[in-house]
Amino acid sequence: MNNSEKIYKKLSKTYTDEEIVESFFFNETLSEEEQKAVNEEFRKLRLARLKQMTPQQILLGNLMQMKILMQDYFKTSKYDPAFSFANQLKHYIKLIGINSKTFSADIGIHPTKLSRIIHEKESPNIELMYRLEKHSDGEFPAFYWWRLHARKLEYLIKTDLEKKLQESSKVSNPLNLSA
Amino acid sequence: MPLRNIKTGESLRSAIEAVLQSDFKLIAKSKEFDFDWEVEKENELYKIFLVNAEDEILGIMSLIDIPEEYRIHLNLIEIGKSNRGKGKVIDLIAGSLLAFGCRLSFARGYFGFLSLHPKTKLIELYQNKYGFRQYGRLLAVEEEASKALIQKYLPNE
Repeated sequence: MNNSEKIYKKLSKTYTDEEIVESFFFNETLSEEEQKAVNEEFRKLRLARLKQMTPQQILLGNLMQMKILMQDYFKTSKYDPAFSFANQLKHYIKLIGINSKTFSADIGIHPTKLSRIIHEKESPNIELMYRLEKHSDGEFPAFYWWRLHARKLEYLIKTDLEKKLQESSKVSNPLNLSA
Repeated sequence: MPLRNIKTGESLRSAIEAVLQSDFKLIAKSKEFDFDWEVEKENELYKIFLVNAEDEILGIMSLIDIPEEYRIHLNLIEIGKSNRGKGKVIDLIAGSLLAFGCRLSFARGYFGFLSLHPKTKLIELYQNKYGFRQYGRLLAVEEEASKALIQKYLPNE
């Protein structure tokens, strides 16, 4: 009796098959030779499957990857330029595989405005974020785009000391709350 | 990610993180797990716990990354004794770990592909419960089915 069979027999004394499936995932135990054959057979099937993937399936996978990496970025507290609004929008346009002109027409903004946003010459507005949500069929909610933008703003506010000093000099009669 | 208290229906906040060296003591001490998890050390190990009870590991998962085949292989999941079978208190633990594996697969650019080589007798049950499909002698979830698992078990991600 192989190892997985022993495990299964032991579990079966206490649990039904349905209960086993709800609490365990364990692999069939094979001899080294059998395992090698199974791995080789599977490798061929997997590589064939990758070749058969449609552009739509590849797009779904790539957009899911972009979304999950964005979510993981939101869990951190740092600013990463790769996750600026502009860079993520650029990445999104690249993944969907259309040119900027077509994309700007699809989301109803002027190509020059889109170019200025992508090159960080202009800040995105909330209207654009709603349009990106609609364009992505809800996969990238407007608030995801807002979070990207807000993270950069926060970083700039914290690090632009020159601007801070410049603006501070324009304030008269500040409150003095220190004891 | 919400788990569920079976009796009250209450949603329970949980987290999944990599298993640390210090966790092996907790795993052994709890007597909740039957498999020898030290043996799995060479693989990627993840634990699931409630956010207000970090020391109580509810379930553990062992994954093998196979980048040349664009897949992650699910080597082992075990849920602690208190949450198995008829007497279990918390539900959705295994599904949450499985969905986390699918999420990792998407994040690594493998299109959500997660494979498993279960006992033949259990294949149909894994297919019906989690949407696996057969690939030769293995099972796998990928793409839409993988996304569906993430949406079902990790809705707040």
